[in-house]
Amino acid sequence: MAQRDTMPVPGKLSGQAVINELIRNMELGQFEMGYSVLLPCVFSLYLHPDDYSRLEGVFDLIAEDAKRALGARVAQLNTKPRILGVMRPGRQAKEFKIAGRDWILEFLPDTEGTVPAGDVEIHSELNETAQPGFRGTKTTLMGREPSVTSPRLPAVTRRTSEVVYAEIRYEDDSGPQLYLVSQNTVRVGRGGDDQPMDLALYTNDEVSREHFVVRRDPATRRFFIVDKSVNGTWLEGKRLKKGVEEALPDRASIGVAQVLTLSFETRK
Amino acid sequence: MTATLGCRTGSASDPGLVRDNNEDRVYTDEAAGVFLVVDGMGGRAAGEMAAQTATEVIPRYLNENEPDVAGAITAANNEIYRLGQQHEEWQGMACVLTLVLVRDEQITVGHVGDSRLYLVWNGTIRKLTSDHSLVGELEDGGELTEAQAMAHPKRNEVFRDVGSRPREATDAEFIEIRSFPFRPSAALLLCTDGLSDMLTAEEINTVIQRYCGDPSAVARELVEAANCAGGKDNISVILVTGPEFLGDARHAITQVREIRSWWRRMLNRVVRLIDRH
Repeated sequence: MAQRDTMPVPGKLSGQAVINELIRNMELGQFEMGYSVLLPCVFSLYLHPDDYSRLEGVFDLIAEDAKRALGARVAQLNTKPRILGVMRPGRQAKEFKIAGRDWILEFLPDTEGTVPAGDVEIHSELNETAQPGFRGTKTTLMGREPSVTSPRLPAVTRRTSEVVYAEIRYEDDSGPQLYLVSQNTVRVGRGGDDQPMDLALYTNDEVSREHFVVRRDPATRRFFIVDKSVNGTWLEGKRLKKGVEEALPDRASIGVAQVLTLSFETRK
Repeated sequence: MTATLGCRTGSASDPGLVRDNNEDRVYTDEAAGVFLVVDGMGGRAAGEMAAQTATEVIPRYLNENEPDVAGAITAANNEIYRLGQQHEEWQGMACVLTLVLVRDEQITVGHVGDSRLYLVWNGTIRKLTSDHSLVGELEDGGELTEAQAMAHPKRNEVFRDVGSRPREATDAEFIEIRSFPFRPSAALLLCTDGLSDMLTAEEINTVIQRYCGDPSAVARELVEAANCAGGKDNISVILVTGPEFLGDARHAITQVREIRSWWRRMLNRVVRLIDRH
C-alpha cells in the first residue's frame, strides 16, 4: 500500500527508508502454515540507476544493518503473547521463521526505467528455490504498481557474488568437508530437533547439538568464538571457558570435544 | 533379512524441459541395498544405451559377486566400451554414475563423474561425493562458491566417465570409492546433475525436509522444483530415508505430542478432583 506520509524527497533515497520498506515487504509476504509462519528471506531491491551508483559502495553496510533490523523484527514477532502471564500449551503461537540460513539481499539497478529516483522496488521470495506456492511479495516505496515484466525473478534469486569471509576445513564421519563462511554467525554442532546448525558435524553424541558459535563483527571484520558445549571446545590446544567469547585468530585450529579438529582460516 | 531394514526408498526421473529424451537411468533394490543413478552421454540413442547398460550390468555383477563396488562399475565400463566398439551408432558412448551400497548401517559409494550423493541429517545437508570436473574441483577446493559453480559455463565438462575406454578396477583417476556410517536418522539423496545444476544444496534440503513418510513424493517434488528452476537437463533422484528419518515432520509430531499430553494431564487432574469429592 502507498506510504505517502513517509515518501522521501525524490532522488534522496535514505537507508532507513530502504530498511523500513524491507520490513514491510517481509511482513506482507508471510506464508502461514500449521505450526509456523514463513517469512521471505530473499530480497531483490531495484533502485533507480542514479541511486544505485550513489549507494553502490555502501550496499554491504546497508545489507548488514537491514539484516539486523529484519532479525530484530522476527524476534519481536516471536515474542510470545501472554494472557495474565500464563501460556496454554494447546494455544502455542506460531513460530515466525525463514526458510533459509540467512537473509539474502541483492541490490540491482533498474534497467526497465520503471523505478523513479528515490524509490525502491522490492521483490521477495520465501526461499532460494523458485517453486510454485513459495512466492513472496512485491512492494514499492512510492505505492507504484511493481513491475513484473521480464524474467527478473529467477535471475535474481541466486547469489553469484557471494562474499566468502573465511573457510573451515574438517573431517567428520562424512569425510573431508569444506565450509565457506559467508555470513556473520556460524553455529557449529551436531544439530538436532529444531536445531539445524549452519555447520553440522556428522559425528557421535560426544559433540553437543550446538557445540560452539563463530561470530564475525562486520565493523572490524574480526572473528570471535564462544563455546556452548558439554564436552568442551579447544582453541589452539587451550580449552575455552563455556559461554565466554574469545577472539579467533586469522588461522586457528578448533578442537571439538576431543573428537575432531576444525581448521579455521579467514580470507583476505 | 534385507540390507536396509526399515529404510524407505523413492525415485523419480524426468527428461526436464529442454531435452526430449531421457538419458538418465535410476535403479533401486531396497532388499539388496543397491541404489544407482546414471547419466548417459554420447547423444540420444547412445547416451540412453550407455546408461541402460550400466543399470543392467551393475546389479547383475553385485548379485553374482560379493559387494564389490569397483568391480561392478568396471564391468559396466568394459561392457559399454565393447558395445560402443561393435556398433557404429553407439561409438564413444559413456556415462557418469553414483552407486551406493547400504549394508549394516554402513554405506559404500562408488562414484565416477558429476552425479552426486548427499547426506541429510539433523536438518542439514552435505555432499559426500566429489565432482570429477574442473568446475567441481574448484568448488570442492573452495575456489568457487556453490552459486558461482552453478553459473559456470564449463559446469558440464567431466574428466572421468564410465565406458569411453577399457579399464581395470584399480585404475587411478577412475572410480572414487568411499565408506560412511549410515545413521538411522539420516537420509541419502543420489541425483544426476540435472538436479544439482538447477538447485543449490540448501534448496534441495528445503524440499527434503518436507518429508512426511513418502520418499517418492519428495523425489517427485525435487524433479518439479528443478523443472521450475529451468529443467535444462534430464533430472533423476533417489531418496533413501533411514528408519528414524523424519524431516521436518519431527517438529509437527513433537508439537502434537505436547498438546496431547497437556490435555491428558488436564483430564487426569479433573478425574482426581472428582475422585476426591
